[in-house]
Amino acid sequence: MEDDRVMIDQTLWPRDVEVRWIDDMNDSAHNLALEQTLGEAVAHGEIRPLVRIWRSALAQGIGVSRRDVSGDDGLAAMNEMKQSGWDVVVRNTGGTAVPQGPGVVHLSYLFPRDARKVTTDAYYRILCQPLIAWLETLGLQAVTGALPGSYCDGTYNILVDNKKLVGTAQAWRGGLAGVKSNRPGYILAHACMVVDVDMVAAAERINRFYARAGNDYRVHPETSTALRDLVPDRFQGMTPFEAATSVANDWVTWYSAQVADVRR
Amino acid sequence: MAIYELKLPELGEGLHEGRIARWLVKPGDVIKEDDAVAEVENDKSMVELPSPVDGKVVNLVLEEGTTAVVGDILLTLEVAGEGNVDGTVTAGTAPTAAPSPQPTPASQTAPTAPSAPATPAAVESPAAANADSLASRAHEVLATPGVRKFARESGIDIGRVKGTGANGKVTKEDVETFLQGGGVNAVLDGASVSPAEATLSDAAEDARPLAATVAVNTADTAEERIPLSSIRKIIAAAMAKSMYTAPHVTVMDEVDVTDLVQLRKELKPLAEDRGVKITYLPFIVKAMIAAIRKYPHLNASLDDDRQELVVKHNYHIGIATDTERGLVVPVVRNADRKSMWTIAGEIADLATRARTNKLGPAEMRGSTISITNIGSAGGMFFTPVINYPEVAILGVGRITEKPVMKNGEVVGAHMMALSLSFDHRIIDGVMGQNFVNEIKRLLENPRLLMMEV
Repeated sequence: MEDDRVMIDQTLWPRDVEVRWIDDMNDSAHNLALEQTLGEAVAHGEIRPLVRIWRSALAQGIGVSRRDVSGDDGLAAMNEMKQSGWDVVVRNTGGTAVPQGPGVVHLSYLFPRDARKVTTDAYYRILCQPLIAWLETLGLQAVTGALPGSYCDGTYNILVDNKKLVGTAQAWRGGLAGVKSNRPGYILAHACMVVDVDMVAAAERINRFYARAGNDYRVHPETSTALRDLVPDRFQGMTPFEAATSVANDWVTWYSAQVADVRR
Repeated sequence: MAIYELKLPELGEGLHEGRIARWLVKPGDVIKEDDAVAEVENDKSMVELPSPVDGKVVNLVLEEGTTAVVGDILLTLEVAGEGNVDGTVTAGTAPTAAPSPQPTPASQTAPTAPSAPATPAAVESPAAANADSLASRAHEVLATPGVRKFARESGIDIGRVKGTGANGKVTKEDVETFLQGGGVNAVLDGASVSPAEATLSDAAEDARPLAATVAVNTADTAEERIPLSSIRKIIAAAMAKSMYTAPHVTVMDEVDVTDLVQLRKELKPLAEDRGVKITYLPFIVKAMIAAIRKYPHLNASLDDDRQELVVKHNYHIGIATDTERGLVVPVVRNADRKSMWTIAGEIADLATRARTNKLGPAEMRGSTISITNIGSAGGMFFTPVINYPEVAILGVGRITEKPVMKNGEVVGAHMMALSLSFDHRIIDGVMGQNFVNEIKRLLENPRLLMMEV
């Protein structure tokens, strides 16, 4: 009667899912491209469905959506930012720009696309629930919700004290997974958590990109928070990169336990 | 050859539009079922849309970069067999609203309310008043010609069968399940909808132009028009029917469940050993059955036509369950004959399958009284709507720990909120309250409840 929802949502988890930490810290584009490579391998049944844990590459910058750079102005804005030394990566999910760089850690579900008639909401829920539960282990009360003014806003932000800590997005590619399909597909449900990033500077970068792209969209730094600001003791003496690494480490343990539950 | 119109499906997040980011096919392409045809983007997600059918692309109705509303036609395909558009309609054009022409006066046996066909012959007969409207609806359904034929020959309107195949395709098994289930496979909180009514509302829906099912936001209005899903339409009709038909009265009361909370705590490890998640619902089900035995008129329905009260001697308990698609009411049958362990397991199983859309129609029919639980969402007292034609529904609210007076002293107690709605045509207020009192008595003292098991 209390928490059967957690149990229910497990039905969307593939039973043979595994947790892996896979990242390329030196090449942000490759780090991102791995999503597609791994997703396609999952779709073809070459590897097991995956919970991928990964850190942003070391280059400081922003991640934008394809839509952000679909016009000439967007492309020009991207090139200008790159010329001033910022890294810009273009991701395949929807949404608007997000901070990238050391101090950001990501979680991607790469599941085979199946015939069930569900909407993205179901996958957002199974993406957010374990993260919220993990935050609870740090003594944080988190909820999902929209927060106008936050970067890449959506219904399934994870908020702590009404500030955004985690952004989420999805991409569903191809048709049904499996060998019979012409183009086997996969579902990517992605969450990125700001562990330790100067969000004022990051918001300024994002706004600069949109201003240059001739887009009125702006983000407000006060709508965001970082995990380090919420639990400073947890990350004492760590650099942003080390903080993100320690979260990734924690997640490997946490998600391995979640996945074991699914198999049971 | 026929035309199939591929429409923008709902993607999620409560968003009702998507931008056609990129076409993955072009006119003339021959595509297979499940091939991705377009990348559709909403604020947060990118979804490649697979085709539900094999066919040849005739026309891309929208340009890349255009924003479409759920239900908008994205592209048209030429398909073998039956499409989902009348063959005479030009691709990409919404059929007009005109209902099927009335038959000649000589054959006009049922000029109003189209009803479900009584026999296969009625469907096949061109003179049947509703044959045209049924046929036009069947075009909307995804199924192979063989399955359509099977449905026709079984006297079933395929439009009412829920498909479980790829992209909602109706399979032969679905038709068989529908046949076995007696013809209704969506029963919802509030009330079941009779087949005749379902046909009526479906037919009415068909008569509307496609464009009317959706509406576009305009820049200067701060409102949004969201087309109702078919399940939501059924819920709406059922709720309205219940409220308009049965004069509802709700009694609300609190029950001290301190001992029950303790008992459940003690049972939890036992339950885990059995692989069952023990909630309060099985206790409530048992307490309610005991109360029904004392006040059997609560487990009944009113036969309006014959002005008779139909008292049920089966104890089939409907459990209102929240799902993504809307409320459904799976039924724990003969709950009086089952142990609490069995009931706990069954409720968990029904709820799981309700939420993954895997319940058979028979599992959502035939309840004699229902329970709805808002406590899990934190609610307390409320006015549940009777699952018509039942005559009562018990609403369970949250359990709150609070100070109460016991023997002249303030002590802490776990208080559960109960709200019983009943049909005041049948049940008087005192009987309703007495029924609640009996449930309270048992929940307050779980040892008494054990005697009822």
